[in-house]
Amino acid sequence: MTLPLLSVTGLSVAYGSTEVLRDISFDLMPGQALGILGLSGCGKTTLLRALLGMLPPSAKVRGQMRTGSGAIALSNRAALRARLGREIGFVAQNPFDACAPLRTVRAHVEEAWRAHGLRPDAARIAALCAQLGLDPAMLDHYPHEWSGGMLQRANIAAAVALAPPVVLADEPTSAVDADTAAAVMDCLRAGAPGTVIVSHDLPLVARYADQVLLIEEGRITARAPRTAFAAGRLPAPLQDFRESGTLPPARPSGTDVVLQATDLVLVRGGRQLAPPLSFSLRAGEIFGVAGRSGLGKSTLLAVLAGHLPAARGTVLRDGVARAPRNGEVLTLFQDALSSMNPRWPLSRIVAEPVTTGPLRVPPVSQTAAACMALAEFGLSHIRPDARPGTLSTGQGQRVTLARASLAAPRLVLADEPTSALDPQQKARALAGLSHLARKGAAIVFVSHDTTLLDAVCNRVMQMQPLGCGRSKQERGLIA
Amino acid sequence: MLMRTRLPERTLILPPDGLVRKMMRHPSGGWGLALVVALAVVALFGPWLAPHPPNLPDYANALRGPGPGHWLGTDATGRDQLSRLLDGARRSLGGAVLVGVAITLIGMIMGILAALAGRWVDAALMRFVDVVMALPGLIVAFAVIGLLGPGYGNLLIALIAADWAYKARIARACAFEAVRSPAATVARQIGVPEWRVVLHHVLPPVFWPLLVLGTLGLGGQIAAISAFSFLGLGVQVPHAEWGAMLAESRFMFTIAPWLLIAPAACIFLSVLASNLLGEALRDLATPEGRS
Repeated sequence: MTLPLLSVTGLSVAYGSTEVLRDISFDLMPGQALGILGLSGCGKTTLLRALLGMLPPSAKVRGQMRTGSGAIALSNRAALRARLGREIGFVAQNPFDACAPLRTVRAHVEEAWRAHGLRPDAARIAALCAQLGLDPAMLDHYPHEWSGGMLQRANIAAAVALAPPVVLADEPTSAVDADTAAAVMDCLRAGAPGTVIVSHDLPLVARYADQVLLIEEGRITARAPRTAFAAGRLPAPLQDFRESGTLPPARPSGTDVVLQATDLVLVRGGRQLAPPLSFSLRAGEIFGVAGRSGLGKSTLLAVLAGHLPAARGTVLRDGVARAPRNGEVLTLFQDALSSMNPRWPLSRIVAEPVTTGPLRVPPVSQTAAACMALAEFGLSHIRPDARPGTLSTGQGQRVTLARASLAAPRLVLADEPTSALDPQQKARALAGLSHLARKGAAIVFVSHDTTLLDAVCNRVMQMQPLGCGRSKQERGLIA
Repeated sequence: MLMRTRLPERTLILPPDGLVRKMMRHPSGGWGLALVVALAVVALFGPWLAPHPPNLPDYANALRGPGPGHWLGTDATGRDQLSRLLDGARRSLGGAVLVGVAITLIGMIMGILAALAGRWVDAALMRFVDVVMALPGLIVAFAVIGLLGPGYGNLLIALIAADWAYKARIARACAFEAVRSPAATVARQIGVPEWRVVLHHVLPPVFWPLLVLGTLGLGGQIAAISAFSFLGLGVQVPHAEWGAMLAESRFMFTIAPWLLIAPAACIFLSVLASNLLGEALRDLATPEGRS
C-alpha cells in the first residue's frame, strides 16, 4: 500500500468564537492533483495558509498534518514554516505580488535556497528552466519585464526548487491570460509529484485535478473523482455549484446608434497596435471586445471615453464628431473597489451621480435613491452606511453597477469587470450588466474570456494583431 | 520569500469616523492621546496656570531646590521654574504644531498643484523641490536664520523652509495617484465639477498620509525648536522656552540639576507623545489582516 504524500486530519480554524474551517481532512496520493473548489470567502485561502503556517497568531488552529518526515500539529506554525520549500512548495495567486519588484527573478528563485541557509544550485535552476520552458537569459531581468504567465512559471520553479513532494497553489492562473493558463497548469503538475490546487474555477479544476473537494462555509460538502465530471454523476452540492454559475441570456438591442467608429487606429508609444477598427454601438446592446493583452483594448476604451484622441479615424457620438458630454460615458473598472471613495458610505458613493448636473435631486432624496438602486442590484441586505472596504469584490462590482444605473449614461465601458469574481458573483454581476443594458445603455464589454463574451454579448469583436489577416471578425450576432 | 511589498500611500486609507474610539483601543494610541491632550492644555492655558510671573526675577530666592512655594525650584535669578515651564510650553509645543501645520499646508498645495497642472508646472515645482531637498535641512535653517537674524518668529520660518520640500514631494506622489484614480475618473465622467473632484477624491488621500507623517515629525520639530533656542538662535531672553531654559542653566548642572531635568523631561514627554500618536495613526491607517 502506498502512503499519501500529504495527509491532513481534523483541520479547524477559528477566530475567537467564529469557526472559519471545520474538520477538514484529506489525503494526497503520489502522482495526483487535488482540486479544492469553493466560492470566495469559503475558507480556501485560510486552509492553505493553515498548512503553510502563515495564519496570524489570533487564529486558533487545530488538526494534524502528515508529510514524508512525519506528523506535525498544525498549530505549530514555526515547525510548519521550517518545512516550507523542502516538503511543501507554495505558488501564490499573483506572480507579480510574489516577486520583489527591485530584485531580479533569478534572485527570487535563489531565495528558495537562501531561505534555508543553503547555497543556490545553478545546475538545478538550469534544469528547472529546461523542464518548465523558461528562458535562462530572462532570469536576470526584473519581474516587470516578464509576462504574467512566464513569471508564474518562474514562481513554480522557486516553489519546486528544493524538490518538495507537494506543491500548494492558490488560484495559480487567475492572474494570467486564458491562453497561458493551460501551460501554467501543465508546469505545475510537472513540477512536483503531488499538487493541491485551490480555485473557484470549476472547469479548470475538473480538467487538472484527479480528486475534487468542494468547500462550503468552512466544511467539505462534496468529494468526487475526476471521472464523475465526465460521467455526469456529480454529488448534489457539486452539481449545484456548477449550475449556479450559469450566465444570463443576452437580450435584444435597440436601434438608436449611440456611437459609430470608423477606421479607428489605436496607437501607443508611437506604435500602431492593431488594424483599423470600425463598429457601431446601439442603445441597449452589449458589445464584446475580445483579444489578447497588448492589442490595445485599454487604449480603445480610453479613446471611446474621450480621454485619448484617436490617432486616425473618426468617432461619431449621436452622429456628430464631438467629445463626450458630462454623464454620457461611464467606465466600470476591473477593480471596482478602487473606483469608490474608500472613506464614503455606500449610499453616498452610489448617490454621487444625483448630486450634480441635470440629474441632481435634493439631498434628502439622495440616500433614498441610493438605497433603491442598491436594492435593484440585489444588495438590499447590505447596510447603506457600510464602507467599501467591507465589501467582497463581487458586491463591489454590483455597487458600481447601482451607481451606473443612477448616472444613466448612454455608453458604459466595462474593462474586464468580472475577471476577479467567482462563478456565482460573476453571474450576478452579469445579470446587473444586462439590467443596465435593458435600461438603455450601450455597453462595451472588454475581456479575454471569449466563452464569457459569447454568452452575454449581442455581438463580439475579436481584435487581431497587425498582419494577422482580417482587421476584425464579428461573430455571435444575436440581434 | 512571498512577502508583499506595497507603497505606503496606497495603504494609507484612513476612515475619519470613530478615530478617537479606535485610538483609545490601540495599545500606544490611548497613552499618546492622553499625553497630547495634557500637553495641549498646558500649552494653551500655561500662562494662567503659572503660580508666579514667569519672567520676574526674585534674587532673594535664587537657586532654591524643589519644595513648597516653588515646586520645581527656582533658577539663578530666582524665577519660578514651574511657571517658566508652563509659560514656555506654548513656545515649544505651539511652535512645533505651527511649523507642522504650515509645512503640511504648503506641501499639500504644492503637491496637488503639481499633480493637477502636470507638464511644465509639475516639472518646475518638483525640480525646485529637488534643489531644496538636496540641501541638508540644518543648513537651510541656519541660512534662513542668518538672513533674518535670530528670534522666535524667524526660527519658525527657518524650520518651515527646511522641511516643506519633503512634504511637497510626498503630497505630489499621493495627489498624482489620486487625480488619476478610478474614483476621480468616475466622478469626472458623471460630471462632478473639478473643484469638487479635488475636494472629495484628491484632498483626503493626500491629507491623511501627510497628517500621519506630520504627527510623527512633530517630535522632531519640538526637538529642533529647543535645539535652536539652546544655541541662542530661537527664543530670546527673558522669554521661557524649554530648550532655552536648558541652555541658560547648563552651567549649573552640578549645583542645581533640577533646572535641567524638568525641561529635558518635558521635551522627552512631548517627543514621546507625538511618536506614540503618530505610530497609532499609522497603524490605524494600515488595516491588519488585509492581504
